[in-house]
Amino acid sequence: MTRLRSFLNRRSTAIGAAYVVLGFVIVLILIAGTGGDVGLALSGWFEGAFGNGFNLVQTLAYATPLTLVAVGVGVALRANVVTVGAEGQMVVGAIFSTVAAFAVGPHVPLLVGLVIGALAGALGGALWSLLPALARVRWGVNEILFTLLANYIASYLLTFLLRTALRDPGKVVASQSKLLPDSFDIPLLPVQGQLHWGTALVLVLVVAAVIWNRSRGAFLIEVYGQRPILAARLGLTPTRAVVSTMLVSGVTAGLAGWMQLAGVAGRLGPGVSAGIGFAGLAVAVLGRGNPIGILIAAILYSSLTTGANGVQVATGTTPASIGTVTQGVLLLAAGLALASGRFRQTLLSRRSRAASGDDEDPRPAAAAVTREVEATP
Amino acid sequence: MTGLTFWAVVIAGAFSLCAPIVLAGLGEIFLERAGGFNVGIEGMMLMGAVFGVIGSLRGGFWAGALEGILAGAVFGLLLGLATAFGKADMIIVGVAIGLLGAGLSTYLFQALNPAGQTNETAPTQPILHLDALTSIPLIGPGLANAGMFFYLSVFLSIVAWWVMKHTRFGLRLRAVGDDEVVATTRGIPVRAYRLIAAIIAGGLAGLGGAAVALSSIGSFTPGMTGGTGFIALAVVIIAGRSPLGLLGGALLFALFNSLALLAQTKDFGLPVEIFEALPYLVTVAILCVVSRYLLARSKQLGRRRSAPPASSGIG
Amino acid sequence: MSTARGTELSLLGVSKNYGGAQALVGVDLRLEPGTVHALVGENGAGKSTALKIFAGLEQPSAGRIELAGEPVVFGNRTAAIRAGVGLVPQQLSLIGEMSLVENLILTRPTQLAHRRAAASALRAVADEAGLTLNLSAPVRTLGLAERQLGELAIALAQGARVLLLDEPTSAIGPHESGLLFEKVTALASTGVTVLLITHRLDEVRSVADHVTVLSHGRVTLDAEVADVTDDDLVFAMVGEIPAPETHTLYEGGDDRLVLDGVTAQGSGVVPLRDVSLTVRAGEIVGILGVAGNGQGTLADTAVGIIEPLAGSVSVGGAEIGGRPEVAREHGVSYVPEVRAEFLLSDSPVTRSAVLRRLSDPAFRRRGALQWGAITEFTKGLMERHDVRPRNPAINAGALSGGNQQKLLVGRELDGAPAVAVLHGPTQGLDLHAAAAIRSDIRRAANAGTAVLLVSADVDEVRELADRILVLSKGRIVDEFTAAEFDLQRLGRAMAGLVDHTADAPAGGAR
Repeated sequence: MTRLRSFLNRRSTAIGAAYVVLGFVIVLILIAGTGGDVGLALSGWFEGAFGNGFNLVQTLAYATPLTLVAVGVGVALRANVVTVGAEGQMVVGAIFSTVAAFAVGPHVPLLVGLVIGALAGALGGALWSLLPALARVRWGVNEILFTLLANYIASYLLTFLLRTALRDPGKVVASQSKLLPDSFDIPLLPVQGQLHWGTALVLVLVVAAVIWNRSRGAFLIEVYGQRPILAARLGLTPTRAVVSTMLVSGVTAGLAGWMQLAGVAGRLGPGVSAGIGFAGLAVAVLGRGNPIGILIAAILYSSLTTGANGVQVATGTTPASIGTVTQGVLLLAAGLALASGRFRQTLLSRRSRAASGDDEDPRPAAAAVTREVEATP
Repeated sequence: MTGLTFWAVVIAGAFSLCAPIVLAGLGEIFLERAGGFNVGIEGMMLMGAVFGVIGSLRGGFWAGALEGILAGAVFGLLLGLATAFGKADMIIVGVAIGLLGAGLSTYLFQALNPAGQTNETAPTQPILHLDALTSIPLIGPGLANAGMFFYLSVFLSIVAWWVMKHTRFGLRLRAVGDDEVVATTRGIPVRAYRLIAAIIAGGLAGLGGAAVALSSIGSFTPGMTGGTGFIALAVVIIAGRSPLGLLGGALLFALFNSLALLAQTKDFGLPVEIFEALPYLVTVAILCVVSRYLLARSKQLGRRRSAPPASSGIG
Repeated sequence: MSTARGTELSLLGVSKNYGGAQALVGVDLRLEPGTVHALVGENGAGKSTALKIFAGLEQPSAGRIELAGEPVVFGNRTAAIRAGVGLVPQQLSLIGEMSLVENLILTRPTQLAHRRAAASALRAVADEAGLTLNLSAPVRTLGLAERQLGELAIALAQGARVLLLDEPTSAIGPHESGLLFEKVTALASTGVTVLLITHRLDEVRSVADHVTVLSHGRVTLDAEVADVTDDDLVFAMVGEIPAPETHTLYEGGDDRLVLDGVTAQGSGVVPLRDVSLTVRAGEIVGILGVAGNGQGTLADTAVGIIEPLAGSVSVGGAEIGGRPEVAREHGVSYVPEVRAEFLLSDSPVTRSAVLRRLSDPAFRRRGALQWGAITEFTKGLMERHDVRPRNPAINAGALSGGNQQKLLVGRELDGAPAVAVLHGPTQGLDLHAAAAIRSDIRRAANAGTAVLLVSADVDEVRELADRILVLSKGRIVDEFTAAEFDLQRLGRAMAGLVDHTADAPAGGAR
């Protein structure tokens, strides 16, 4: 597929590049317009993102969960399922991991602790993605809206648990859990800074995704994304396509929640998802659903967040939220670039009417769904 | 408001809390009728909120409301240009605008209010004090003391309903959303209508954001809309894209919201987070019921190939 | 709009380029008031481009438009409507969820939707033209013929003095076509200028006064209809047509596809009611009917996409009702009415081409799809079924309509499947492409495929089918063999006027 997709003509690549450059120029104008020094900002960004070993590791550390979430979201996008629920799935995954860790207790070997934590996280994420998946295939509920709303429900669940059952009784003010038992902490890689072994696991998953991309199953999912009835004729029913891809994205988000918990924070706190779920969707789009593309996009995206701190330090006047602004501009540019190319809208084309209607082909899909509804237990 | 019953206070709160949902939702109705969908609605509301505060600080409440509308409309223009003219995917653009709005509103807030400086409080909405209404049982006190945003919401809902039903513009908008190819052959400038719908959606989302900031607080905090826009998206679907239905739906959700706020002052024996999550839970539940009904109906009626899904229910 | 007065409307030396392609080259076309002017030509000959330029939907690259002798510029559709140019496009241009009145309001000059005024204006022209129309029901509930007359009425209510009709009979039966042309000739006799785009020479003969033939964007013939022969017209359109593959007349094979008492509800307005039919190996069974009488539901049900509410669908004895994947495993091929539904338009041709052969071990190694081998296979498929350009790397959606259809039909008929259900396989194609596809169909039947051919094209079904079933309001109302063919009887059956099925509910289904 990568080979076939590389038939991008030069013109569309140039237009794409032009949009991205224009986007960055707008951001620089904004910085200048609010009294920042553009040169300082640029060097501050590079310093903050890649300038020294510690900052580089920070960038990679933030890119880790982004890549993980985006790989899963990318699988769903292939089936034309837009899940905006990674945020909530991360939260629920982290909650499950925390509960499992304290339930099992400190007296297990490290490997067992890691496996239990990861499985619990994956389970939590999967469950939280199963709800919108089932609602969509059974009742035709729009998954974008459902997952958006479920994110808020998950966050109130987290607040509730941190105030009650999971609260560290030692702390009076901040609502967070106790530190996880040591055997549940993901060990750090032998580098300067906070990079844990989860990063290696994510790289393995990226390779797995590259291999899976070449399979018949992946192709069928793509067929489903464009022509659901055709996929049904090839044996992939809407239920299986939607539920399986949403479960995959739930599992990766849940794992990301576990990594942020057990690899970064060491305890459950209110900021466990920290916008990573939402950003994961952006990274999946920027990487155009391709695992390697996602990896590159995640590092770029992450560098905008870490680099923004560098910008703030360097200029002293430009707030770090310039990072989010740049990410938005970049995604907008990517959206326009995608639309201008020959490959336009292969990814999300049929979502154009998206949430404004049932996304299946209007006619036989209704019938196929009928059958689905009756066939599903 | 001493002497009022608990429920009268809850209802009064609902009048105030429904305004952002109604205003943002009305814009979304225009957009969806034209075949669009605005995932970036929160970003637009946040821009409306920050400019609402800036404007109100500079020139009073009405200046704030106007600047909120303008800020949102600029983002709506962006959405319209990118999707109608740039043919970009509206979900990608929506997510981008969501990020951009969240980032830019925070950036502007921080750039204008460096950390450590105290926040000035901007003038908030005028209260109309329609004392004649006080005598109506239960809802009277709330109605009488409701703010300008509530009355704006009611007024604009009626205007939107009238525009949809009784103007050529409203019919044309629907035609664009129903079938873009047919609309073109009927001589409707489809892209221009999409653009106009997106600008209206942005402007009203901006006004909705201003309503969040200027109802009673008068200052901005990053991310202060907290999902109100997404609730508005859901309520629009539930209300079948009808402005008056939206008004009713928004009031219902605001009621739960108001209950959640007041539940903290009164012990119901349930955790406060349940009440806080209630508007979202109820929205999801009703969304499921409505979708299920629409699915059943579409199966019963059968769907025509040429009628795009936009004309039927929501997935 | 009391008496519609016609206007002369002309294209003078008009050329149109799309990118590098020349759609029209120096075309002169003069429409006279009070006449019906036929514009004929193959698909891609430039008919629709000429129509779009008349209608204001496209602007000429060179040359000009004259209205009553004065040069005019139609910058957009609205300008042409204001100038009195009415359009009845092939794909009807009414919003399904709105009534005819609301559809009219869309183009009225007032900002407010004066429903009552619009209704009375529409009522007035409908009465004058003798059209009986339901003005207030949503258009999607109207029959196709009524929608078409509705379009006509709307065009007249907009003050049209010129009517552009684009293949108006492509979706309606002979009976309705007759009624439509009666109205059209009556309008022309009151002075309205009519341009009729068609590919049917019998229509040219029976309705038109004047005929212009386009081929490859140039006028190749321009004459009074009375002065030319059919052969002249065909030669002007296409030059020579290759001799078709002959179909060995069916001699009787085993039962392959059996529908028994099938009742099904698709998404069309008309459900399928108690349909029984059998298609045997090597046989071509044609289903004729006016579009919208349950054809789509029948085809979808026969391949398992729609589950029947009652009755059974079986292939070679195996029940497949409602299970499309099982139907496919039993060798059921399907070309649906909307070809895009079964092609991956935004991906290279290889991806669409391989879909029927995904489980073929030749294309998989250790779980990975072998795109190299698939590309070779695709090249062969394109060769065998004459898909041009022969480039497996371009996107399927970038092929012309005819080549997309050849790709789809080729994929589905390649290697003579057990059963093939084909819905309108040559709809909208030029004569060359249609002839190629008909040859494919015959070849498959000769090799033993049981073919169910669902079509609204009487000539095509007559040419190909061994047996013809007529579908009306979701029921099979008549059946005859190729030898018994009788156009009169067929027309009545298609119009639902068959006496021996008087027990069928007259109102149709909602």
